[in-house]
Amino acid sequence: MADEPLSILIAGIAAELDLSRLPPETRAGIVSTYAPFAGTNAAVPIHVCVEFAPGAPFIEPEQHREWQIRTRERAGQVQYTSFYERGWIDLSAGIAYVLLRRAGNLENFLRVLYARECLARGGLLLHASGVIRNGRGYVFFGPSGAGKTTVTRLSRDETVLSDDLVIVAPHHGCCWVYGVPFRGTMSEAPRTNAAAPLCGLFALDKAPTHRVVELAPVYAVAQLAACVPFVMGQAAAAAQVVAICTALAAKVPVRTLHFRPDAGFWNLLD
Amino acid sequence: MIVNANQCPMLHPQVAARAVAGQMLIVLADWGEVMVLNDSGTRLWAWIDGRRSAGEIASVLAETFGLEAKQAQAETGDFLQALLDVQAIELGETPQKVG
Repeated sequence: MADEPLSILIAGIAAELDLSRLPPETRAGIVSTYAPFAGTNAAVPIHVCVEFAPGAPFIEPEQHREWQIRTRERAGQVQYTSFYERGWIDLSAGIAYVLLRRAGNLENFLRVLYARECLARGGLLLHASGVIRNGRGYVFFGPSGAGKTTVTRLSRDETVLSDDLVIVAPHHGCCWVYGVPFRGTMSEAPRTNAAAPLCGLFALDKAPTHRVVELAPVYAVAQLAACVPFVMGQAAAAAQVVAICTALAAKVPVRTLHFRPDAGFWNLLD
Repeated sequence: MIVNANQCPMLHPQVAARAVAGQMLIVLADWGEVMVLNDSGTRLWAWIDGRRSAGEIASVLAETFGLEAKQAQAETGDFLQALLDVQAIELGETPQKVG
């Protein structure tokens, strides 16, 4: 039904997207994109009102910049602006609003929304690829170019959660990794709605040979924190990120994976 | 800005810091950057409290490690200047009141 909201559930965080004011083709595209994550739980969802209006970009796109997101805190709200989207998020009230231009895409707004809500719940949206192998979750993190998509492509026989972003969050006293409907540069990457207990976090480093090296605790925390997008702009939130990363590194091994582009690195991780 | 001995360094409000296994990790929220201080930087960082002047920090450093006053002043000045350059600290002219 066109007027019914789309309910999505990512890492146990429910959102209800009101798409009723969108053109039919835009609405259909969003429903299709997030279909693997359609669902509800017992929690009150975050209500997201999505509107559309033609007009000029909110930020003039630059020739050499693929995307840009600006956020700032104001009166308890997160103000959000990107090239073709503008909105706000009020997590304490459980509501959010986004206005799309013709070329607008809901994904970046949802990334910011989920990054903020994860943090509020003691979890992290991490710039990382995620793979489930034999029921165990593996997270490979690092900046752009570190090899997240490469590792994902070398893991096609496993359950690939994402090549770019995953959620790591506590669940019944353990750390779990969750798939998200957000993609990186791997256009064929699935939008896998799955989760698994986390057994290892690996900072990626391209190298001539496969090797796993322990990371000193402070570097484990520093490298993890450096891969947490969208929430580090305020000192209080940054402190919270560091605290969560410290707790995470105390529970789950954090190591550097030096790897060459073949699947042989899995022999070191099993 | 160059740090002088009478100025009192204090943490920049957009900085988050945490000791992890005895080493200080600093996040510069304005830039989204994460830094890890070495052992001597971690020690010096602990003395940046908005009450001690740069000169007093240098004196504590000299006493703690048995350094010549001149060497301690130089090391403290370099360290504070490096922190100032990345906006990890601010400088006050008078000590900040506690409480």
